[in-house]
Amino acid sequence: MLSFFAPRFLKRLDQRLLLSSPILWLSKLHYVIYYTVILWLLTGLIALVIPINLADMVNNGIYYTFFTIISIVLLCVWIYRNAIFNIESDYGNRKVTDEYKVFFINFLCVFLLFSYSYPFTYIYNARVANTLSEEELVSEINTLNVAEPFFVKSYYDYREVQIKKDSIIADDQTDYQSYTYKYDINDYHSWNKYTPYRLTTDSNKVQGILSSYQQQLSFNRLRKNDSQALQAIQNYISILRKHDVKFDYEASYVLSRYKSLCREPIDFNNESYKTYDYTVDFGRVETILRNVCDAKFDPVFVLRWEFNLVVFYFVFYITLAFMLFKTVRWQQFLVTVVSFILLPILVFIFSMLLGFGSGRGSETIFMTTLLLIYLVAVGFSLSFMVHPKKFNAFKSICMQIVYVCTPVFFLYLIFYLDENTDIFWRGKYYYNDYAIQEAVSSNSFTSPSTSFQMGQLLYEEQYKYYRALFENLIWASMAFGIFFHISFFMVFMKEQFLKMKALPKNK
Amino acid sequence: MKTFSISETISELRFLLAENDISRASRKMLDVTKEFDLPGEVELLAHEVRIAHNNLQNESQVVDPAIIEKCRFFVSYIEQHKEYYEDFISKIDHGTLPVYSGIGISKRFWSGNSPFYLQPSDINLYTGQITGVVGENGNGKTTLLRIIAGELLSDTGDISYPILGLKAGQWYKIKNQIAFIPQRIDKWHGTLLDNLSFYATMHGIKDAENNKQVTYILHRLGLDRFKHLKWSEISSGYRLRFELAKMLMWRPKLLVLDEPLANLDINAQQLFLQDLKFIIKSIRFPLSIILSSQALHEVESVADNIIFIKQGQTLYSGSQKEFGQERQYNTFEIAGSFSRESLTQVMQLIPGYKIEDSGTVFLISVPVDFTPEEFLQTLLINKIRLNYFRDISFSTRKLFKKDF
Repeated sequence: MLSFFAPRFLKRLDQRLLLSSPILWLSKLHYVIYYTVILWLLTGLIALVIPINLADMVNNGIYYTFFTIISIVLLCVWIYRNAIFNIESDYGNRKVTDEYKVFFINFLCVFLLFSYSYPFTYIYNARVANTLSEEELVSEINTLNVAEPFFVKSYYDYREVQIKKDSIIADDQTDYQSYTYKYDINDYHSWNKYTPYRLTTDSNKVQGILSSYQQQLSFNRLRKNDSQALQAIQNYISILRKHDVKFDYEASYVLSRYKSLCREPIDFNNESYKTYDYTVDFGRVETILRNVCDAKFDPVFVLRWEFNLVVFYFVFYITLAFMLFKTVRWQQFLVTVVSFILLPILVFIFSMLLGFGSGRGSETIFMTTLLLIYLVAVGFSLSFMVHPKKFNAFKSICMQIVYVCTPVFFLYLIFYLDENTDIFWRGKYYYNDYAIQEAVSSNSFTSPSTSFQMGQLLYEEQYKYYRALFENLIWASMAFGIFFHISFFMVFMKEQFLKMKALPKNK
Repeated sequence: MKTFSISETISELRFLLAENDISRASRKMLDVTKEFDLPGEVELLAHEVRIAHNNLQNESQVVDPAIIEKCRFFVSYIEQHKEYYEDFISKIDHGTLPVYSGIGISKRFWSGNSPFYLQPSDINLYTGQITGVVGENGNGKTTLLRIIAGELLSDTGDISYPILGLKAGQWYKIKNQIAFIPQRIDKWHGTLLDNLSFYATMHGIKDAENNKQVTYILHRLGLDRFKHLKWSEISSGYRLRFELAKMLMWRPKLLVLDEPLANLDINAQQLFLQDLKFIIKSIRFPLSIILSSQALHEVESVADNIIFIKQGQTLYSGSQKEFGQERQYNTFEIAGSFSRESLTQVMQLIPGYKIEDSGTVFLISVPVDFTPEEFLQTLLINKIRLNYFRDISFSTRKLFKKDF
């Protein structure tokens, strides 16, 4: 099917690889690259032509999901095409270093198969970001923010005032009855309404955004001059209409309504006030500005390291699982997959039962049991390596468990130590020493004057050091686990798996 | 041990051409191309002739004289360089080490609810020899073959593969040189041609050599027409031939075949056994073949050695030619339109006879000094009308007798 659509040069290349490089031919890397380029262009084109709805970015997610489904389908096709031929199953010639080649090629193939959404997301995001220039964005935000108080939509945006009820004599007990609360429309306080959150917290991102104080000053100038106020309101309405918000009121109406509401504080129970409320989707503009701002100043999620770390582990484990599938007998592989699903569930139930009433945390039991299972699997694997005589399905499964778990074993060990010991000072700050918490949060801590405070500062520094060490060890253990596995363990285990697979069976 | 002989080949080719038997002549020519590095144009001739033969609608179709001419040119080229090739053959020495050596091999296991015991036996397999494993169903033939192929662990004994020069336990490398074709062949995926090319490549035969080998084996086994088909599109006979082609592609040292004739019709069986005879003659890529089969006479027609297993016990293991040399009886298998009574009356003329009725045929044992000719003469004189006669004095067939 895939080769049917392939150009002649690709078919020739396929034939050439078949005769000269079985590993490359098996991987179908050439087909994967070819179809990846096509799909990149296709998804990029889709990102260029689909209409942008700035108020609703769900489209992005739908397309991402759609492309991910395509990736999964193509991955299945690729796995099938790759799995039907197997060098190891038929005892072909192979070198130890072939495993590196196989790993990197398969990793690249799986990654490319999962990369179809990258161009789409990047291009679509760029389009969103370019819908407004930085100047336009700043101008619109400022215009909307400054004129916003004229559009009385919610009394919560205005200051609440306490008004004494004349008919009731106030005393301590009846105080709540002797006062009423109203909203003074003259006193607006919800400034920055249209400023996206990240611009209010990080003003360095873009110049020209008015601060709350500046907005207030501008507004105060406007309200003194009707013509300027009308112009500001008109600008506000223009921006609304530009972003497809239906607003049927005239600027003069908005101003006169504002002025009338300013005469006296409003009781929020006043029904007549409510009838004058605008039935307009102002939130749409807020959303649009926020989305444009996100697109402009946030890295695209597919380019964020957190996302790519997840992608890396996903691709890494798909590659690993597939390589394992080809190296071992499928029956034992299936049992291993089921074990990985069932074992944690069983261990969880076991730890809940054992932890109940024993005084020990079920979390500790859960983590310890999993660690023990891994160590037992290591033990059985070693027993095979020392005396490989006949094929043993159980030991094969143990070896597979070790193979899959080792890349994250070191990471797990760090978490285990942190969770169950105080080696990284996990419990010392949060649970044990309330005084330290107090001291840390108090102002006196910044300039210690007593030996007690010095001790507290030292303690705090030690805490910070061990937590930082923990954080660093997480990264180090992740990197080491991957490096150890790829550079040595993967090849070593491959030899053991092949040794096991080639051994005579007992029946 | 059958080996390739250039003089024999030339005279055989001349005879086949005189008979216009292009089918066998073209295969013979391809055999020559496999054994020697011939110039490209001469090698091409062999392929052209084979393709021309494969394209014939039927065997009786008149062959193009140009094809015959190509054959003659091929033969004359070989004849001109006969001394060179004979010298080439004489220099090849594969030693005397066995490919497989199993001493005291036994296996005990439960088959369903009944125990089975393959009793200890010693077996050596040498290159250039075909060994047939015969016996009734469920007597341990497959078990023995699986042990030899390294698929099954024996309970006792020592197994080694001396010619491979590998230590015991290096099973991946050992299996890299053993081709095992089980009775039930696994399905191939993808086109047959891709499979053949891939198996050759992964065993180190690459690029032009790969192309050459694949083309050769397809033509030699008459599979060229099917190369673009898929597994599901060919018959079980062709599946076996493709499996054999795949295995031969990477030149294994030992070929283990479990019941290869089981699903083949009589013509396919003959063709397959002819292929084995050709394969075993190779001096350039010598190998040993062991196969199990129920088709006793067919196996005996190609086997150098016979292993006969009965209820797990090896009753005979040795040269096929030597079997029956020290017999006390000559044994014949006969059938025809006569009753047991009339046969018994006639047999009373021969002192010391035995008759066994196996249902469709009679097994007659007579003293060893009573020759087959005398036996036949006795029957004919006494009006016993035969439609089937076989002398099994030198065949393990008589080991199937109930009283054995």
